[in-house]
Amino acid sequence: MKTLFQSLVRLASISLLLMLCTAIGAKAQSARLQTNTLDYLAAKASQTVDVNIDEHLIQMTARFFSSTNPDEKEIKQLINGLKGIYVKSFEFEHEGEYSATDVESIRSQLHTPAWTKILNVNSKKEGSVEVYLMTAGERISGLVVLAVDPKELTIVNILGPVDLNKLSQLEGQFGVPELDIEPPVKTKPKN
Amino acid sequence: MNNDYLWDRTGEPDVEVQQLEDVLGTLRYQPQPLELPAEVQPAARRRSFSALAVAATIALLVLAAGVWIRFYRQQVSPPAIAKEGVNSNQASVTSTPTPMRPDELITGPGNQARLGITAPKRSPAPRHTNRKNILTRRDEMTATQRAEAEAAKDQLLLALRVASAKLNLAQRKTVGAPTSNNIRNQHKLG
Repeated sequence: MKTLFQSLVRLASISLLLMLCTAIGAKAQSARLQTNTLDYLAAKASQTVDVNIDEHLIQMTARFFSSTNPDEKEIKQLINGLKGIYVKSFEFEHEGEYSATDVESIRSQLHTPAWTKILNVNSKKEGSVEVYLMTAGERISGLVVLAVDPKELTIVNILGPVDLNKLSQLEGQFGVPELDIEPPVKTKPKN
Repeated sequence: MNNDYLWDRTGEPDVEVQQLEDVLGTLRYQPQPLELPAEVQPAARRRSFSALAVAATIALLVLAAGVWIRFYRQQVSPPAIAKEGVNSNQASVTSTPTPMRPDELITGPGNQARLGITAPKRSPAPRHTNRKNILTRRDEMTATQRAEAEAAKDQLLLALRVASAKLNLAQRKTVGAPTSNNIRNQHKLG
């Protein structure tokens, strides 16, 4: 009887430990960034974009994209399987409205083995753009674009298997002009 | 010398053997009941073990039930509620993580209050519905909910365009030409 109780206690302890480890591991591998610390910047910003779309909202919205329209079909394919899209962008009238600590609070979350920095462009005048990827095997499970400009701070966080090729081709399509969020660049006409 | 005494204690014993018997005889086994120290009480220990085991089992069951309910609600959780930003310059879509019962996915009174929809009068539905019924209710969206979803669609497009613009900006800064795409071949999907 005593042995049975001891075994039961041991089993319960091991199970609890395993559950805790699983929960911690799942949290650690999440591609979701915590950007709440930047919310106070909305009061200082002249223009703010704050989009938080979770998986359920993506699934619900996906039904409103036509399967017959080629453009909308492409978007539907792009968002299919995504777990969340989170964008925070602040544009300021003057420089120095946000601090380096604000940027570091985001960047520090990306300094883990799960994230790989695939692109880093630094410019004294135009700021920097960093692109991070989280991969699971050969599939992308998360994307972060951190664009830091003297008058602008943008964080794009996409969870799930995003197609970077399709995403980068999206700008300027669907009858909507390109967003004027960067210095104008002479573009070659598409073939 | 007769050694019978050493074998079966018969015959005349040797003096030295007798002395040895006297010395070692004090260490001879003497049957007596086991006397445990007062602080060691097997019954109390068993009780504490059983209480600990029961507590651990209950904790494990509660934890397992919590995990199961969480997963169950995630599977049938409602579509999130879209909310327009308060500032004209601020676009915002937020989703409420509040878990709801499956029969409240769209037409629940809490949802309607949050969406600002007056509840239409309808025949009472059974409280327990299956998954097929839930999907049917989802399909029957009201005009207001459709408008909310359309707004969410616009926000989704905005988010994708910002993401696309920033990716292209990074590529343009890297290469200096808009047509090239370094990221394109980094990870092939599918």
